[in-house]
Parts: sequence; structure tokens; C-alpha cells
Amino acid sequence: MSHTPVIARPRPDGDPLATRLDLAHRTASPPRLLIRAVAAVAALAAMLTALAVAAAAANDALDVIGHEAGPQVVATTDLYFALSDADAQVATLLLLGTSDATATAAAETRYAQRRGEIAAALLEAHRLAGDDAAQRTTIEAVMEHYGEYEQLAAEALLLADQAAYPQGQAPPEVVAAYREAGDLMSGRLLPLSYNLTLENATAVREAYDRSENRIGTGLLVVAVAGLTALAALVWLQLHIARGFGRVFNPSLLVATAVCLLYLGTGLAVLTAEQSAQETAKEDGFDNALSLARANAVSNALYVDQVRFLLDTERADIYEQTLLDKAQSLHYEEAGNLDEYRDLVAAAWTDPAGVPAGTAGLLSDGFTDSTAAWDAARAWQSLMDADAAMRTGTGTEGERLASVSAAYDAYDTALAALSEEHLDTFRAGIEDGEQAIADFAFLLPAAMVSLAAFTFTGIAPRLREFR
Amino acid sequence: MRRAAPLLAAALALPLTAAGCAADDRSILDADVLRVAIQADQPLIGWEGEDGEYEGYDVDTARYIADRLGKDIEWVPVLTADRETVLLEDRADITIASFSITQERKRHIDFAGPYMIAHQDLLVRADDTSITALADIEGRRLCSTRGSNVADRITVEHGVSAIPVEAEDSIDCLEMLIDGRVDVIATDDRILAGLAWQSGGQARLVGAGYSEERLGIGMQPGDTAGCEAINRAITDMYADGTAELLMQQWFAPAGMDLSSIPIPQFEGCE
Repeated sequence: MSHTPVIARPRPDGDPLATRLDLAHRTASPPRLLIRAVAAVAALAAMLTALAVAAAAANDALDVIGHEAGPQVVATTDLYFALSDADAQVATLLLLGTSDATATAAAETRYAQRRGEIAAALLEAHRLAGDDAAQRTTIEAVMEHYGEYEQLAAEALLLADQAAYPQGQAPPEVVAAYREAGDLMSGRLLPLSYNLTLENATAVREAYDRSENRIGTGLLVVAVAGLTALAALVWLQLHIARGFGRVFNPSLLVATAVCLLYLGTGLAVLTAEQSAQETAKEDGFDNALSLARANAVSNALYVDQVRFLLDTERADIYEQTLLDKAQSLHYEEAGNLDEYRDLVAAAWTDPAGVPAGTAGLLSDGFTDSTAAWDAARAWQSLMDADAAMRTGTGTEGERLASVSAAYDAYDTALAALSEEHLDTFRAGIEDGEQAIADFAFLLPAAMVSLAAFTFTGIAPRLREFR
Repeated sequence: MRRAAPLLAAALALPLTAAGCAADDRSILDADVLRVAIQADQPLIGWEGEDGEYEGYDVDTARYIADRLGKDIEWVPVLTADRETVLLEDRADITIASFSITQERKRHIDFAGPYMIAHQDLLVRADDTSITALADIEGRRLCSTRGSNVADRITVEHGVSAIPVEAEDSIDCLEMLIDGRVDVIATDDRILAGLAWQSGGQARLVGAGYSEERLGIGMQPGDTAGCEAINRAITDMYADGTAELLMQQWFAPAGMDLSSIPIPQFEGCE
């Protein structure tokens, strides 16, 4: 640092105070003052920009998680469920034949209702897909295959009408016609919509990871820029104190205080944002997604039960795919359904705390709540009803009616548990959005006021040089 | 200025330290080379051709996926029994080798896919008409390869007890079947189609189709992004018609029924 005086002043020789003041004053000059002030304002601007960028990134992520891919996950699982349940009703109608007018009418009503839901879910999924070409192609493929499915199902139902058989006696041509429809459903429609759900879950995970990274980086940049701004303000203060003999400068003190305030608030808001997103994603979304998938798989499992009764030739396959699905919902180290039920019963004897969960879409969603226990018990009842259905006493209609009732009870319990997680998810998204909205609004005002305070702080000193 | 300098220096050093700490999970997406474990003993699926190149459906699937991910392939030939350990011992990144996804296996490794839906079936001598369904193999000698779960599952899931005979690979099973040391081979229909084709008419597929197998791509655990990228490649493979084309190319000549090719429903990447 050079010590050449820029402005010559008359020096009263021999006055020690004057000499000291003069020496001090030699270090001050308008360019030096300005450089320090500009450095302080630049660092402040950097800090606030970093805050704004991190907040915007968090906002983008909230949009994707809360309003785009997140709802798309829900829309596509609705689609899966409606498709699968429509198929369940077709299989039910074919199984019952002419035997049970009430049950037949109920299945017909439900089939009509599901068809409406399928159309609505397809439209919603298509809308939410926005400009994602791959997703739109997939949804269009589902629409096309669904048209084929309705055609095949209508043919099977027509054949059944013509054959007019009692329950459980579907003639081979009816079973063959249904197989074609059922294979299309299980082999194309359901996988396509399930994979669509997973693809959107991937989009949520990617948005979340990206946002976590950006907020993390944002926190760091804000901290560094904030500390730099504080250092620059102190530097400016020191300069004024030494160069002009003024210890405190009110405007700069206010600027420093506001800077500290924003640094503190900014870091706190971003940290709060991070934890709100974490809650929404890990406690809400992930569990809700697991249960939405559980719901989809469970309905497909119910279809396997109806098909088991309808298509005896393939009964072995439907029993094995059912066990596979049961294992993916709640895993027990069992080789067949009997072992499975015993192990589930043994695992859930202690009604305190969370039901013992192994890996599985259903167990993943267990929490310490009555809803979790209700779902666990309903699952157990469904598997018991399944066993009773397989050993087969009573007519096909009766055997189906008991699993059907158990399935409906389980479906209701699952929905209640799912709603718990969805509430957590929505609350997390809302908290995150709220935190950012309040804060982002104040950022421009903060920048203007900080710059104003800094420059009003140095203005009187600059005037001394005139 | 002098007093502020150390503070500034400390503040500026922060990002450097933080960048140094960021520990990333290892992903197949970070490497240029994909180490793919395949079986070299399964005609039509994974097989070393006369020119020394690997060929077959699983091999072509691996090529397609590696191409989509922009990776070069390093082949790691394995036997049935090593499909899991090769991943756990980090000798391969992925396994594409008629590997069915089961919850049991998922406790140790992850699965991308499935990339194909197969069915368990039976292969018998062409002149043996006594076996037409799974129940008919009760008390007969059943060959399966070491490390596969086929014989167990037939007994436990379907309650049919055959006499299990284990062989090192499927070619051994075929030899034993033809010379009468075993009566039946059970495994997925793709493998059996390959063996039937290789036997030159001495063995035939029963067409019992008693169980559905979801063939997955084994992965080292914890690589969610890599798993999702592979699933996207599989989606493309079905959407652009490659999957069907390859199945027609490899399995249609061996007499496999390809009238309705199911799209795999993904297991999901955790």
C-alpha cells in the first residue's frame, strides 16, 4: 500500500494531534474509499444473487415434485388401478356366467365406471406429460392397446352371453377369448402404465437430487459471499476510522446489521427449505409412491385370484404370479403360499409399535399408526381368504365373493395408510413453497437498501475531499 | 486490510474443502467401460460363436444397453452359480444371464429390468411322450444347473417331487438327457429352445409353461441412477421394436411361441 499523500494540506508543524490526523488522512482518498465501497456492495450483491439463485432452484424442484412429476405419479397409478380393476370385472363376469344376477349387475356397473376412469386418467396423464415426447408416445400406446383390449373383452363377453353357462363353467372358447384380452392387459397395458409411474418417480428423484445439490452449493456460496461482504464492510469501516478519525459510521453499521440479518436468514431459509424438501420426498413421496405401487400390484393380485378360478388350465401360473406379487408387497422367506401365511402370522403377533416390515412395497409404507396395523391385518385376512378360495368349498361365485370382500376391505385400509403419507407430502411441499415465497419477495428490497446504506455511509467522507 | 485478509482467505477456502468432501455413490454411469457378466454356455442366449465373438439374445441386449449408455463393453463370462458373486466381488458391473428377479436375490443385489418375460418349461427326449405337463415329472430324474433355483421351486411351489440331478452347465444337462441319464430338463423356455435347437431334433420342448419368470439385469446394490438409465434403455428397446426383432431372430427358428410378446413391468430402482 502506498503512503504518498494525494491531497496536500497545510501542516501545522509541532502539533502532535494534527500530525497524527494528517498521517492517518494520507491513507484515505476518494478512489480508495470508492474501491472499498464498491467491493462491499459487489459482495453483498453476490450474496443476495446466490440466495436468489438457490431459492429459484428450490422453487423449480418444488414445482417438479409437487406439481408435475409428483401428480403424474398419482395420475398414472390411478390409470393402472382403473385398467387392472376393469380387467377384474371382465374376468368376474365371465366366471359368473348366468348364475348370479346381482353380482353380475354389480360387476357390469363397476366395469362401466372403470372405463370412464380410464378415459379420464389417460387424458390427465397426457396433459401432465406436457412436452415430454417419450411419455406422450407411451400414453398414446396405452390408448391404442386399450382400444384393442375393449374389443377383445367385448368379444369374450359376447361369446359368454351366447354360451349362457352357469358359474365356473366357461367353455374353452370363452376362456381362450379372455386369455387374449388378459394377456394384452398383463403383457402390455399394465406394464406400460406401471413403467410410466416409475419414469415419473425417476423425474421426481432427479429433480430432488438436483435441488439438494443446488441448495447445498447455494448455502456455501451464500456463506462465502456473505462473509466476504461483511469483511468488505469492516474493511471500509476500518478505512474510514483510520483515515478520517471517525470510529462509527451509522449507515455502514446499519448496512452491516442488515447484511448479517440476511446472511443469517438466508442460511436459515435454505436449510429449512432443504429439510422441507427432504420431508416431502423421503417421508411423504417415497412412501406414498411405495403404497401407490402396492395398490397397483394388489389389484393385479386380485385379478390373479379371479383368473385362477376362471382359467383352470393356467391356474398354476396364476398361483405362482400371485405368490410373486405377495412377496413383492411384503417379503417372507417362503416357498409357497401356505408357508407365506404362516410366516406373516408369526411376524405380526406383537401389536405394539410398527408392524414388522421386511422389504416390500406394502411394508415400506408402514408407520407407527393404527392405519399401518389396519393395513397389515387386512393383508393377512386377504391372504387367509385366498387360501380358503383355493381349497374351494362352495360355488365359484361364493369363493370369489369372500376374496372379493377381503380385497375391498384391504383396499380401503391401504388407501387410508396412503392418505397419511400423501398428507406429509403435501405439507412438505407447502412448507417449502411458503418459506421461499416470503423470502424471495424481500430480496430485491434488501439489495437496494444495502447499497443505499453503504453509499450514504461513504458520501459525507467523499465530500471532505471537495 | 491486513486484518480482513485472513478472514477472506478462510472464507474463500470453504468451497474447496466442501468440494473435496463430496462423496458420490459409485455408478456405472461414471465409467467408460461396462463390465458385463454373461453366460457363454447357453445357445441362442449367451454363447461363444465360432469366430470367438459372443452372440445370442442376452449378448445383443447387453450391446444395445451399453450403446444407449455410451459405454464400451468388457465381457465377463460366468457360470450360473457365479451370477451373483461376480457382482458382489466387483468383478462385473451388471449381469445379463437368464437371471430371474426374486425377492430372495434382491436382498443381496439390485435388479434393473426385467428385460424379458420368460416361462419355465420342460425339455424331454423327442421320443418321450410320457411327459406332457409338470405333474408328469413326479419321480423322474430332473436336471438343472448348479446355482439355479428351478428344482427347489418345482418341489416347494408346485408340490411335484422329481429326483434332482445337478450339472455344471446346460450343455451337460443336454448330454445327460440324450444319453438317458436324466429324463427331463427344467428351466426357462429360452434356454430350452436353445438346447432343443442344439440337439438337432433329439429333444423337444413340452410347452408346459408352468411359471412366469421375470429376467432381470443384476446390478451391484445402490446405483439408482444407473438402474434407471438401464430401464430407460429397455423401454427404448421395446418401443423401437429391437426387442421383438431380436426375439424373432434368435428364438423363432427354435420353435418358440412369439405370438404375444409381453412388455416387462419394471421392478423399480430403489
